[in-house]
Amino acid sequence: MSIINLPAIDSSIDRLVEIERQKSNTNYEKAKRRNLAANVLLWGSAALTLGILLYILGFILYRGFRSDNIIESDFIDSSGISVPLDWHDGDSVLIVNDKTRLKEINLRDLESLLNGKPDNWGNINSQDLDVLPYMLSSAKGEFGKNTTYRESPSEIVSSVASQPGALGLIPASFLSLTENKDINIIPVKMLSVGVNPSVLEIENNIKLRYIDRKILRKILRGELTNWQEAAGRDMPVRLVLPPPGSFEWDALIEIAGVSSEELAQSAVGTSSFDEFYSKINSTPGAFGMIRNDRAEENNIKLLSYRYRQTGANLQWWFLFEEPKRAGRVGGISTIVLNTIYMVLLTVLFSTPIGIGAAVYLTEYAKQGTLVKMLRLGTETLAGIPSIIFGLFGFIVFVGAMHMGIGLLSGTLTLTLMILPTIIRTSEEAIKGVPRSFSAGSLALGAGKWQTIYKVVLPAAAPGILTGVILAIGRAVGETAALLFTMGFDYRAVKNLSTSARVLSTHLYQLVKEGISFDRAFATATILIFIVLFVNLVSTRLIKRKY
Amino acid sequence: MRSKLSIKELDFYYGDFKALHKVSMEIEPNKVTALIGPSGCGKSTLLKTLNRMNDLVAGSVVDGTVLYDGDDIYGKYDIIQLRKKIGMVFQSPNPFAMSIYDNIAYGPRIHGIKNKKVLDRIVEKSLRQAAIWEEIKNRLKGPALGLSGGQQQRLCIARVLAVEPDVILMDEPTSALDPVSTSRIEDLIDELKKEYTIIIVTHNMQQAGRISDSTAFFLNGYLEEMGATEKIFFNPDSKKTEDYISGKFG
Amino acid sequence: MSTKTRIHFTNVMEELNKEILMMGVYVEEALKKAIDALKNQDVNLAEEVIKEDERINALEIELFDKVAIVLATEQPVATDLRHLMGAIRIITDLERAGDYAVHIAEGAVRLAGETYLTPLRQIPEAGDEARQMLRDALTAFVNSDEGLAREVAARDDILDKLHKKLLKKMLKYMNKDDEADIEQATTLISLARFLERLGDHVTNICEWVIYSKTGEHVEL
Repeated sequence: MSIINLPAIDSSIDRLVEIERQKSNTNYEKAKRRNLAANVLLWGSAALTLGILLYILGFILYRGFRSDNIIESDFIDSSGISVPLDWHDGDSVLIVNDKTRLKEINLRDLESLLNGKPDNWGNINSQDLDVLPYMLSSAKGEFGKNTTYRESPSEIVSSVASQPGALGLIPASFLSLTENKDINIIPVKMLSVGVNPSVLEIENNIKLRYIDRKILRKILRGELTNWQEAAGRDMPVRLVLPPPGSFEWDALIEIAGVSSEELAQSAVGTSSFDEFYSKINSTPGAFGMIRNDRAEENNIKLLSYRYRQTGANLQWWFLFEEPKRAGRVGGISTIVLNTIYMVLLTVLFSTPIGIGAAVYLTEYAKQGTLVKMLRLGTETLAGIPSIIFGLFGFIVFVGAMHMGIGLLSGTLTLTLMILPTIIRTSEEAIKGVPRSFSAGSLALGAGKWQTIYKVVLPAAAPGILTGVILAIGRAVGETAALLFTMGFDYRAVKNLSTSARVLSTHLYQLVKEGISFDRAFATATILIFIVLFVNLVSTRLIKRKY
Repeated sequence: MRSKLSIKELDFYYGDFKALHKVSMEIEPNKVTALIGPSGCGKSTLLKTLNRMNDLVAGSVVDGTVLYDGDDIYGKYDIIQLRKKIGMVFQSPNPFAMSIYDNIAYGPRIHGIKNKKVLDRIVEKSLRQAAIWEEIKNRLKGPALGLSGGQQQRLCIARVLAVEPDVILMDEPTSALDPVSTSRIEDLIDELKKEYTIIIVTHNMQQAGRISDSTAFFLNGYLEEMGATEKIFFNPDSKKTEDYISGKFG
Repeated sequence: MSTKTRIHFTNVMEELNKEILMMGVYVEEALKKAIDALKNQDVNLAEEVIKEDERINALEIELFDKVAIVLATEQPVATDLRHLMGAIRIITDLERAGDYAVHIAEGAVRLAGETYLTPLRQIPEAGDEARQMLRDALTAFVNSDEGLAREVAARDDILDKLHKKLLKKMLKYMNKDDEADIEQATTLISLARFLERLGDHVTNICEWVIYSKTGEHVEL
């Protein structure tokens, strides 16, 4: 009988083998899982970065090219071409010269234009044009000093067609006169939402602030019966209908989108405007669509109407028109011009100094502690926040050196800011030129400076140019360094000490002063395109070199 | 015949390292002298001392004399004149990043020639001498870096010829080239020696045999043997020379 | 790359060819003079041939070294290499041919005082033929003309025939038992034999021409 049980040994070896195999399997599985996790992390962060980038860029570009605003106004966003204005018997049509950018206008703005109160279109459509109203001499009411009177509608049509900024009112029956003329017909918004004062009273800290088109339609169709459902107080809605056949009636039917029989059942019908207005004023919870110009005289409270207004934002004219009134009106032409001046001056200052410093550091300086410190210095400067450069510029250039806030101070500050970048890239470019180039030149009997000037620098030019262009990209987008040094005058600069507004500071002003987000985004879009263009050019140059 | 270059007891130091030990040799005019030897033997260093390109190396010290046409180049000799007279062709072709024309006109221009007609003539003459005119005459304004390696090297030779040198130093001029380009450069050297004195450093023993009139063999900074190329290649005096040229060491 | 390169090497090879031709011309001349001396029993001319052989011998050494240096410095390969190898053998053959011319001249000196048993016909004829063959063989070498080389080698038969003819003729005199006649006949036979051997060297040259052209060793 043997002492050792052979089969037992066999089986234990088998078990060991099995355990080893399982171990390696689990290791493999673990590695696989780890790999997967790493992949997910990698792709996830890549996708996130890309997503954020696309979102930001997409958002700015979308808002740049398309204005998309929520507006609260007295006027309902429905308008008509031929409207019953009080100045004429019957319906009238508003015409403007087609050089005037106008899609629609509300009655109040129209009234003020005719009164000559703003004698410039700026407030209405950001266009720097004189307002030139033309009226029939038979028109009723008082108009401003700049209003011109004409005997016949056709005279008005020809006058309006010939002058940018001209507008005129003609009876709707003469609409055909405007065909094939340089004239646009502008719809006029004149309806508002009138309510009984009780609707606007505060109850439980709740006050009805506005309604929108959805609520308006629901009310008209009787689908909304209590103001509570429109975020107002607990009070039944009483729709008061205007006299049938009136302008208001037609508009109401159109907005409701149903026939007159399907209107709210609780609606209160009226047969005259007097009755209509008094019903609104006397019935608690009453609601009616009224002409805006009738509200005051009939003592009717108006409810804000909220709607979304979309349209094209950035258009070519924005680039080519001069800004007026702090950028509220006009385009950004002078600002673009100022930006170009600024970039040119900055390049003019920084390139020779930067290249000179780079040549000194690479070709002349003894490569010792001093050069190392200089390099460290430039690298540190490249990382300093630009606002600090701005502060420095303000104290040194503006203050101590008495240059004042203006183009020169600003560009010098920018020069200081981008100089480290230019020095570093130029240094690298010069170092990248094969030593054999300068050896070849020296062996022909050229001096050191000749060699650098005629052989090394031309060979390094693409690299240097890339650095300069990258620096330009930085300068174009710089705001903080310019805040205290360059000023905000949006007119074209006249000399070096003129305060000058550039794209970045313009954007800053537009947002800070709350002038217009549309304009801010349009400006941002232009800036983004400039920076993209600059980057594209520099990439091209880099590719050409290597 | 009077020597074109006369090197007498030349010592050369890179800092503490002594690269050349008491080298003395005579370079005859209108001959091709080949400097051969294993890497680090001092042959390139010697070449660089002849047009003072070694001045560019920090910490280099020269002791001894180099007479060029009887004048000590380490004396009062104007370094620009020296480099004009003793041109240099480098190991890898190094045309400047400019047009072919500008490459050739570079030397004459830095030496003060501005007249367009004169420059045109110099460019054509140099390119003809370098046997490359026919190939590139129609694209003189094209980039020099667009040429093939062999053409680039001949262009570099033409660039040296354009400053009307007397001696041409060549530092392994064909080591970066293919066999056909190498043959062309060798033919060119054979042609050029009628007008110029040529000193060529080469790692290619066969090349030294083919093109040179006399050969100098360097070893560890010493001039081991110098003589007519036929002699060196057929029956050298030194055993070390023989071992080296027959590829038994080095 | 259509233009020629290695111009220097090409020039060296051409020069070498020229010098080999020159050596051939010297040998030819020596042979002609030797035969003339024999024919006209002109001792001075024969002495001249003997003296001028030094020139041929010196040329052999000179050309031998030249080929060696070309081999050392130019590192030729393929056809160029075979051409040079052939050249070394050819100059040796030429030198041998020159020696035979000297032998003939020595024979002429020996026979100068005697009256020929019969007018010399085969020997001058064979001498002319051998000279022509030598010239053609060297032309074939310089031009790497394989066809010409084969043709020249074939002409060696003519020399053999002339040799046999002379042999037959001389045997007649040798049977007559006149010692002087026998000696003259023996001398003439050996002279003819030298010419025949010279022809063999020309054939060798032809073989080297074919070798340098094709790389094949042939027996012609």
